[in-house]
This record gives sequence, C-alpha cells and structure tokens, in this order.
Amino acid sequence: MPAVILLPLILLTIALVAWLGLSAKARAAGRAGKILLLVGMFGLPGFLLAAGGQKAVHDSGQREFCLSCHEMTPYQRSLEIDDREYLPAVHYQNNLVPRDTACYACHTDYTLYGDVSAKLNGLKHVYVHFLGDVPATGEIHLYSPYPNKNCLKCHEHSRRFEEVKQHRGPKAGLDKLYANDVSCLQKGCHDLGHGVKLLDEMETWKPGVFPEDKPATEDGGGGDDLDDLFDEPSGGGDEKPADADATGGGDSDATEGAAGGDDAGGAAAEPTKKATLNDPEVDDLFDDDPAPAAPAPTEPTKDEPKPEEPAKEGTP
Amino acid sequence: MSDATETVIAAEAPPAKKTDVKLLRWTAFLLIIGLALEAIAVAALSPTTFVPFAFIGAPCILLGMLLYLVHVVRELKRTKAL
Ligand code: HEC
Ligand code: HEC
Ligand code: HEC
Repeated sequence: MPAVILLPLILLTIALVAWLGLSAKARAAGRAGKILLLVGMFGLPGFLLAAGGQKAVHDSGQREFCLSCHEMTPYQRSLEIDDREYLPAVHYQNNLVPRDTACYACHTDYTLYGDVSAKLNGLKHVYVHFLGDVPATGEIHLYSPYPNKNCLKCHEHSRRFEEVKQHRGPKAGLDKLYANDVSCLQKGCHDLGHGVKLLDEMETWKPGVFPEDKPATEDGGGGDDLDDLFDEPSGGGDEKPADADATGGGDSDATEGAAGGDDAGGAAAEPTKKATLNDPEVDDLFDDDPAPAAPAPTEPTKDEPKPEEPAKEGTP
Repeated sequence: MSDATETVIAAEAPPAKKTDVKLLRWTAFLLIIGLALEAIAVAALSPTTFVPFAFIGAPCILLGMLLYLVHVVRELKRTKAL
C-alpha cells in the first residue's frame, strides 16, 4: 500500500484512538461506541500494523535502504566498476538484477528475508552500525559463505549456465554446483566480488555517460538524474587505474590486482570498447584462464574455501 | 469483577467501571505510541526509523490490541454474556 494512502490512514487512526481514549467512559456505555471501539482499537490498528509492516519489509529490500547506512556505500560504488569480471558490476550495469533491488537480488538470504539466524544477523548489523565498531571499508565479511542458491535462483537450469563447459568441468560439475558442494565463488572461478578495496583505482561506468562518444562537447547536462543515484565523492572518470597491487591485500588480491591491470591495459588500447551481453567477449568469462594477464592460477592461495585440487597440491 | 448480583438485561448493562475506563485509556496510549512510530517509519524509512517501529512500535500496537481484547472479555463477563 503506497505511503500516500497509508500515512493519512495512520494519522486518522491516531486521532480516532485519541478521541476514543479520552471519551472511553461514554463510548464503552453505548452500542455505537462499542462498535467504534472495536474498529478504532482493534480493527484499524491490526490492519495498519500488517500493512505498515509489509511496506517496511518491502522498502527495506530497496537498494536505497541498504545504502542508508554509510558502511554500505562502497558496495554501491562497486556496482559501477568498469570491468565485467566483477559480478555485482556486470549484473547491475546490464540490468541482470533489478536496479532498485540490486543488493537484495543477490543477497536474498539477508536478514529480514532469511531464516531466524539471518534475522539475528540483521540485528547485529544494526547494533554494529549504531553502537559497535563499524569495520573499515573492505573489512566487512560475510557471516557465512555465500550460498550458491543465491546465484542459482536465477541461473539454475538455464541454458547459458549449463552450456558453460567449466560448469561441467573437473573444478565444478552441475550436480555439485546445484548441491552447493563447490562454491560458484571459488578461486579461479567467479572470485571477483565487490572489490571495494580497489575502488579508488578502478575505472567506473555510469549509464548515459559516454565521454568518448562526444569528445568535442563537455559532458555536463544529460545524466544529472542518474548522477544522483551514484553519489561518488571523487567524481567520474578521473581516477587512474594505477598500480593496483599497491593497496591489494584481502581475499583475492592476486586476481583482483591482475584484473585491474588488465582493465588498465584494455582502456589504454581501446577506450571506446564496451562489451555487451551478446558480445562474443562473453565467452572470455568462461575461458580456462579467466583473466588473460593474470598470474593468478600459479599464485599461492590463502584464506579462501578451497576446491579440492589446490588442497591436494599443497599437501605433499 | 463479577460481583454484580442484580439481573442484567444485556441491552442496558450497568455503566462501565473505572477499571474498564483505565484499561481503554492504556489501550489508546499504547496504540498512539505504536501508530506514531509506524507513521514515522512509513513517511521516511531508514534504519533509524525502522528499528523503533519494529522493536517498540509494533509491540505497542500488539499490546494495545491485546488490552482491548481483555476489555471485551471483561465487558462480556460483566454483562453475563460469558
Ligand atoms: C551479482 C550479485 C551481487 C549484487 C548485485 C550485490 N552483491 Fe554483495 N556480494 C555478492 C557476492 C557473490 C559476495 C561474496 C563475495 C566474496 O565472498 O568474495 C558479496 C559480498 C558482499 C558483502 C560482504 C563483504 C565482501 O566483500 O565479501 C557485502 C557487505 C555486500 N556484498 C553488500 C552488497 C550491497 C550493499 C549491494 C548493493 C549495493 C550488493 N552487495 C550487491 C554478490 C552481489
Ligand atoms: C543499519 C545499517 C545497515 C543497513 C541498512 C544495511 N547494512 Fe549491511 N551491514 C551493516 C554493518 C554495520 C555491517 C558489518 C557487520 C559486522 O561486520 O559485524 C554489515 C554487513 C553486511 C554484510 C556482510 C555480513 C553478512 O550479513 O553476511 C552484507 C552481505 C550486507 N551487510 C548486506 C546488506 C544489504 C543487502 C542491505 C540492504 C538490504 C544492507 N546490508 C543494509 C550495516 C547495514
Ligand atoms: C536476479 C537474478 C540473478 C542473480 C541473483 C545472479 N545472476 Fe548472474 N546473470 C543473470 C542474468 C539474467 C544474466 C544474463 C543471462 C545469462 O548469462 O545467463 C546473468 C549473467 C551472468 C554471468 C555472465 C556475465 C556476462 O559477462 O555476461 C555470470 C558470470 C553470472 N551471471 C554469474 C552469477 C553469479 C556467480 C551469481 C551469484 C553470485 C549470479 N550470477 C547471480 C541474473 C542473475
């Protein structure tokens, strides 16, 4: 129910309840008064509680709501990364997840929407936000490993998904993926999440802004509305994708660093190139070596949940 | 409570007692608090408004409705309908 209806209704009910309370003695005596009491003190509040609760739960699934806590804003910026290897970025920029509910689309089991323990986690976030030590950017970690089903609710049994040979290959296997026995996010697969630590070195992409299309004119004017969506303190495209390794660190620095470097190379060579979904480049994603310039596969892995083979390699 | 010994005709029950009025005032009080917090949350949802609504407002409304039911039960007992 939209706020324009709900809000006046709540205010009217408050007035009614106040009047009923003040004139309780008289109301309780007569038949009409009793009906009014039933409506005002039981029916309407019950209805409004349900409608308001439903609306609050609905609204809290909006991206806007997630971003109302400052510690979440780097994750918004990460949706603008100009590198399709980054999952949230490629999904967001191509509308593969609904824009308005982008965060919730992938974090489906998050707090309100998850089971009881997820709800308790939500309380913990609120506590941390208001009273605790908010972790520094990039230091927030998932409480429990990202479950495949969050990806699979969109990708399961889809042709594009099942036809990718890596999904059927030795590191994965459809059954194991569907059963959550191997993670979609394991090293060497879709291991580039939000990359919030590297944000300052990343190129970004915003809808409606194509500086390279009109080199002669300044790119003011258009896209103002869109800019509001992305309040980005450091301003558009003037960041340098410089030495990504410098600030690396964190879960997947090897690949992230490499991808950043790769991106820089790509941008320098051919700044106008923008991959689209139907671009043959899509296949690049599924190559054995996801980031061509990456030394990643040979790099020792650190703290990730392990697929079997690297673990075996490590044991002897 | 049911100390009324006179025969009661349902339509013209004796006037409400003081405790009943008090109960209804409490009901109204709780409902107003709860609905006010809900109104704020509906008008501008943010963590700062959602949390008070969820943890104070909603329980207040539920409690108010419960008190109203207590009132109804008492009333029915008083009028010998129960
Ligand atoms: C394409 C799906 C997708 C979208 C959209 C998405 N996320 Fe994520 N998010 C992930 C995945 C996958 C991980 C786990 C990354 C990992 O384990 O390395 C993650 C991890 C996180 C983490 C934990 C910290 C971390 O980096 O591991 C936070 C916080 C987070 N996301 C917040 C958000 C917010 C806020 C939004 C909306 C602005 C959002 N996410 C949108 C997929 C997504
Ligand atoms: C009350 C402010 C606040 C809001 C609103 C908020 N977050 Fe968070 N979030 C936090 C804080 C604080 C942490 C870090 C908690 C910790 O480290 O213990 C966090 C951590 C996370 C994590 C990682 C921990 C976990 O649960 O696995 C994810 C994922 C996440 N948030 C996603 C979201 C999404 C999606 C939304 C919108 C539906 C959202 N957040 C809205 C404050 C918030
Ligand atoms: C809300 C639905 C949704 C969710 C959740 C989702 N995806 Fe997608 N994703 C899509 C759609 C739609 C496409 C485009 C069609 C296709 O490639 O299957 C896509 C495309 C992709 C692609 C190809 C991207 C490209 O460059 O074209 C990859 C890789 C991918 N998803 C991985 C994931 C992973 C990993 C997760 C979990 C972290 C995930 N997706 C979660 C809807 C979703």
